[in-house]
Amino acid sequence: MRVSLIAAGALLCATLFVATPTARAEPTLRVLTTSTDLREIARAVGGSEVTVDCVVKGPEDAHYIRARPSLIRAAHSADVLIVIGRDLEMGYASLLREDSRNEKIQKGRLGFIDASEGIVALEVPTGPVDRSMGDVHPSGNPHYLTDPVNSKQVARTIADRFAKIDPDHADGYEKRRAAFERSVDVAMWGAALLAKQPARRLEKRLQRGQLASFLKGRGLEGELGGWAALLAPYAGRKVVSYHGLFVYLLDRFHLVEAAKIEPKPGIDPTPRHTLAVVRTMKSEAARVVLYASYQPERTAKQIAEQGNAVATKLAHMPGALPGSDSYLEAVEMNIRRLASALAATKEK
Amino acid sequence: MREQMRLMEERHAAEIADLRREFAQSTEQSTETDGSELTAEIDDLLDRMDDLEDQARVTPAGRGAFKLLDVSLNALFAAGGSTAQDDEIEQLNAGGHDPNRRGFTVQNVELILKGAVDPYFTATANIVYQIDRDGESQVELEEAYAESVALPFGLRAKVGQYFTNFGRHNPQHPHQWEFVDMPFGWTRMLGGDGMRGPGAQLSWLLPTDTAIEITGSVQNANGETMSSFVDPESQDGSSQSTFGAQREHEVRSLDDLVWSGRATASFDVDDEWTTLFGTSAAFGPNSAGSSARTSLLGLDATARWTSLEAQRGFPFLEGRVEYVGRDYEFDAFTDGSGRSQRSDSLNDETWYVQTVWGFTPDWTVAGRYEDFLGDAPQDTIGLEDRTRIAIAVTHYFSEFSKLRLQVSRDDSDLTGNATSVWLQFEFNLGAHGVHKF
Repeated sequence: MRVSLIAAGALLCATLFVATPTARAEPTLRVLTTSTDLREIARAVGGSEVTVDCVVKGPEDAHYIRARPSLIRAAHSADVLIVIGRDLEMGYASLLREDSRNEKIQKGRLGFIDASEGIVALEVPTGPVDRSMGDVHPSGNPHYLTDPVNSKQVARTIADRFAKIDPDHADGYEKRRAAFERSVDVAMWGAALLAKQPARRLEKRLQRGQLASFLKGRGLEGELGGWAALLAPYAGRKVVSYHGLFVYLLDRFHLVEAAKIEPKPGIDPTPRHTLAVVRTMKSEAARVVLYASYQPERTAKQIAEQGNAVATKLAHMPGALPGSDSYLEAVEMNIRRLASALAATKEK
Repeated sequence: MREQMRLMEERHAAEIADLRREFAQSTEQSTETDGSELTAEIDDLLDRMDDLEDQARVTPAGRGAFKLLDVSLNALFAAGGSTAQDDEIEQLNAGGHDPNRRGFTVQNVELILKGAVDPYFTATANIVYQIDRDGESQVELEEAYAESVALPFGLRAKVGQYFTNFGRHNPQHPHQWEFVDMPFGWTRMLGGDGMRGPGAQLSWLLPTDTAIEITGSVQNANGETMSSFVDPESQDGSSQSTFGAQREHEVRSLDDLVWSGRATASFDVDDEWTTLFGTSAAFGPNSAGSSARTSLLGLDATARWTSLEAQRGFPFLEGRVEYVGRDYEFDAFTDGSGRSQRSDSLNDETWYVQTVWGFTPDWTVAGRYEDFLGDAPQDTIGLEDRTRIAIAVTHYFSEFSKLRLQVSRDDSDLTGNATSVWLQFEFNLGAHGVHKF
């Protein structure tokens, strides 16, 4: 037993020697997010009141993160954990929470934020789902932040919760949230149109494909600016994507996802399914193929070629591609790339 | 819930009817008002309809379902053959879940139950069903434990029946293995079913920037899953891993329990590389002498690379090396060959090195080299020097099923050379597993 005690003691000393505790200043909220868009929004809302870390890097596939020890360590010292929800983090969020030994970020506590609260989810299955259908998300598609309009709802959810956790800085959170919302609105519509119409009304008309007639009826055609001006001319056009990453973005601009390259979510394309996709592209004039940095470029390009289309790589979250570091930059990149792909295939 | 939905629908229907009425009235009034007022009124109505539509479409995150248990059933089957005879295969593959005969083996059918007990504990139970070589069904409680959720100071307690947190391989369940079988050195040192037993554990996540965790545990020393300690099977000679004349052992003091500890430190080298280094130790009594004791020391290192642009976690590369050294005291005895052994201690060692390369989505190729450096007389079956090399190719149909082909070559001082080929199939029914490092 004496030998064992000495060995155990030596082990402990060795570990403590390696461990160098660091002093931290306490006034800020430590926030951990599971996607870079949440990180950017939390930073915009939190300002200097928060420090925000993220468990993924921009180019990564957020579905398949491994809960490595450094992430569990980060979850341990977080005051707030913000997740995308809708089962996106199914493979690691529970581990992150439980292994963190951190009561503050457990479900039902103030420090746990499911950012999908209040989002109108798309692709919610209507019947019972099981695994024969692939990696379906029973509570809807989780990639809702590709639509900039949803970022405003997320900012609201985050600001409300920050204010509850840290009431002393509630005014600051609200002020920065409003500024973030304004920056999204201006980027989307341009300041001129916003002075005449509320963003929300415009968003809905855009989503329904009624924006042109709505503006015309009010003599506002010349006032349209921002991202909406870039994409509105293509309302109704059809595209194909690799996985349902951009459904929300397409839906907002009244663009239609005619087919997915994956036969079922998370299942690789099969030759037969690819053939069907190409047929759909031809019959429905879908001439743009969207894919993300971690999806096979060659497959996307081959299918685009067969379907007489253009393959376009989009940023599935901030930092996914060079030049897409902030949330607004990432959205802007996607909209510009989408618009130029749609423009290039217009006459075909 | 349904009642609430019905009420909500009724309310929305009523509000939409109101809006229609107002809309009709406003168009009637249109002759009396000018265009801009009419537009404003229409816009206002549009806004209200938009609001109603959204209210009806918002699906609450995690709609109030009562989620009591995550249930899953994991099943592993193997088929194959070896140049070794069936009785030799049993010695070569002494792991409780290894393929153990020519033809088919039901390696492991495991029912996994997990859930939150209350705000203070989560609990897990793994119940294993097996069909042995003679076709008999067996049920075994592999693990059943509760873990604390929110002790202060980075502490976490675990109570119940559980795998000893010793090294990387020991706490893993068969479906997490990269090979069809377990490292044979581990069947000798930590037992064919893995070292586990009832006990209590406390772990501490240090308040450092680096992820450092220290675990201490105390468990009963007796039972067939405590092979290097007080193993009743060693008394009838059926255990491979012990040596000496075995005697009964009672718990008289805290020294008669198995005390174990593990310390790990993990560093992220960059965005793609993660490393983990661990040291483990276990101390307790064994049954080879009146006051004989066993000490186990383990060292392990893991490095894993995953591409930042990985699709479903591929490509990745993982290398791991793990070592266990044992000091096993025994009293004087006369062995099976009639030789008398003086009171002494056995100092044997084992290690393996393995690499797994996920070269393209859903495919991995893995290689492993194992070595055992014995200290017992070389004619002692199960403690002789031995090496094995194995290559496995795995295809994952999805995260929930896989097919694996493994070829291995054994070289034992006692049983000679043997080549074995195994095919393994796994399916996992039920809850989504977690991606542990």
